[in-house]
Amino acid sequence: MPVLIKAPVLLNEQVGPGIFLMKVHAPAVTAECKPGQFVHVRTTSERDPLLRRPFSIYRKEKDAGNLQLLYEIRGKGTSLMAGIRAGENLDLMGPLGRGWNLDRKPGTVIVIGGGMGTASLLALVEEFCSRKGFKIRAFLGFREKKLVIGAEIFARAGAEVTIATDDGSCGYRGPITDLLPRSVRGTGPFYIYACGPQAMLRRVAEFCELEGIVGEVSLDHRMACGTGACLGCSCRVKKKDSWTYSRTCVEGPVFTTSEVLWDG
Amino acid sequence: MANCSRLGVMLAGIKLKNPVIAASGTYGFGEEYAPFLDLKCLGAITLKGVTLAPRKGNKPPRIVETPAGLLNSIGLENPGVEEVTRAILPRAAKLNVPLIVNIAGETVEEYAEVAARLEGKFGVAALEVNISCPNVEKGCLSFGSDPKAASEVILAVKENTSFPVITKLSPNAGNIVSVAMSVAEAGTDAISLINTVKGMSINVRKRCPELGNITGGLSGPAIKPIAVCMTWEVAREVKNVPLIGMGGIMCAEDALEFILAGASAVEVGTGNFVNPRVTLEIIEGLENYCMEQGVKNITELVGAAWKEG
Ligand SMILES: Cc1cc2nc3c(=O)[nH]c(=O)nc-3n(C[C@H](O)[C@H](O)[C@H](O)COP(=O)(O)OP(=O)(O)OC[C@H]3O[C@@H](n4cnc5c(N)ncnc54)[C@H](O)[C@@H]3O)c2cc1C
Ligand SMILES: Cc1cc2nc3c(=O)[nH]c(=O)nc-3n(C[C@H](O)[C@H](O)[C@H](O)COP(=O)(O)O)c2cc1C
Ligand code: FES
Repeated sequence: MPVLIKAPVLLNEQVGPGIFLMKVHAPAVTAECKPGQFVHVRTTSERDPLLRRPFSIYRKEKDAGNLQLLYEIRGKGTSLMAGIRAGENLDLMGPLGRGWNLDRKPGTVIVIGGGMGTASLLALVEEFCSRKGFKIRAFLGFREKKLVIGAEIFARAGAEVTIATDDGSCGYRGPITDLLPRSVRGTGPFYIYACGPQAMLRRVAEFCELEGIVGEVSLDHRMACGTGACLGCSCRVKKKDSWTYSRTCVEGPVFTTSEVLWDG
Repeated sequence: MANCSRLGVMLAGIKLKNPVIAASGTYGFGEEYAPFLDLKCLGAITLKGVTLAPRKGNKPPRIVETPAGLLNSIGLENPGVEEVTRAILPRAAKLNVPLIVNIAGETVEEYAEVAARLEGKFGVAALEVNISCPNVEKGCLSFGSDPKAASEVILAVKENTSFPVITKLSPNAGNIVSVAMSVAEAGTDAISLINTVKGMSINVRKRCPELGNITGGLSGPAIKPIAVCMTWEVAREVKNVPLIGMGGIMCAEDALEFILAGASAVEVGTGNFVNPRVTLEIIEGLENYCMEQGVKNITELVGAAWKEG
């Protein structure tokens, strides 16, 4: 069950240009949360910005009951968040949403992250690394070298990391999806997990279709309630011969590549 | 809640523990908020708007934030009255809180039919007739902006239900007071106001409207002064029908403004998104206010701002 708490902030520090790492003490959340779920954060006690902001659970320190968020300053809410100091409280609800599918037989796990989308994948990598018989490869894409955050943490967790940047300032130059291994069918169980900009997720979905596998993607939609009550976060998913709207905050943010309908 | 007797109210024949009600469309079918508070403490819960046939709702994006406000264009997405009576109401009835079912339609006959299908259903305390949704193309608001059409809807619904009928009015009606007078005449048991205020927002980078539906309805603190004013105006003209005020209520003081303007109860919508426990905090705040001010029952405060002025 999700909770609504004021979590003491233990640390909130800049780890890259406009990118922050926040650690809060939230045992009620860490006891329950799964990789791919998110928390809904109130960034101010004032009325502007009014709504909460969703953030992936970047990492959980289960024994200490601490939760880490990795976030990028985008607008008003995230700017205010960056100003919160250790010792203050963070008003948050969570864990929310459906996380990544963890019910897997030993095999190869491929995670594909774009920009801040990587924040949703580290906990997943750590989970599979703690199990026997999984080979984990992380394909991480960023705009430029300065924004390559967390690559060494993925490596330390046990993933084989490949990097791409839009401008070529680090690793391959171009979309990270160019680097995905081809013809993987028949090479044993193979799982795809992706989070990042819509264009990237779409390419991942196309890749999965070509390879004849079903991957998982985490969608980023604006949210109001975060708990399924307002129907503000709907996205289109296939249903039998037709389609239906599905709530990103409850039925997602993780969907399978075979169910998402890509608009536009 | 320590002492609820100060806050107990009778509204359109329904007994409410307190005058704080969750607003339609912001509280799902109730259970979505169960992890965060004891729903039994609420005066009532108004369910998401229900129509005769299922509705998919509008194209995303459906929400965008504006200063101290929220624009939405959900478009009455709901599974239709059949599914609601079959699967949802029996579950919601177990929440042990009075349920108000919000209904909408494209024609007078549709409103009447939805009311008929809900007749006698266990757990339902009242119907709230939404003639004020700005996000659907047909019906709804066109009834809410025309006093005569509004009264036809209410007459038809009244004929098909034995539940108390609350009519929900729109701030976008040309003259909300004349619509209120007309539905009062048609026999509505209560009036709730206001639904969202039609609005839009444009993304200057993409040079396009923020909402997939182009326009939406504004809610939240940004609309509170409009809502308080409309509550005041309707209260002064329609004295024999109780009012439920809403629009931007975020705390007990906000709720008190509506009550002092003439509302017997309040609904809280967008505030739940910001703070899922806001309703409980409002109830506690009202309780404390009554205690401090020596008010024996909150009903004493209804319209107190104009009665004394
Ligand atoms: C399930 C989920 C998990 C997320 N996890 C993370 C995370 O771990 N780290 C992180 O940095 N961010 C994450 N995000 C995105 C984050 O919620 C937004 O960046 C944040 O809400 C922006 O708030 P703001 O007030 O700073 O910006 P605003 O002032 O609200 O917006 C600034 C700009 O960003 C756009 N924008 C705002 N919200 C979104 C959104 N949800 N999707 C796309 N564009 C948006 C606006 O249109 C505007 O152009 C996640 C989003 C979702 C839905
Ligand atoms: C996301 C959302 C969905 C709504 N859906 C409905 C609805 O289905 N029926 C209805 O009568 N009003 C609906 N409303 C209007 C609210 O019930 C309420 O009248 C309005 O939001 C003003 O109150 P607030 O400022 O407290 O939110 C909706 C409002 C929001 C924000
Ligand atoms: S954000 Fe309200 S239903 Fe998803």
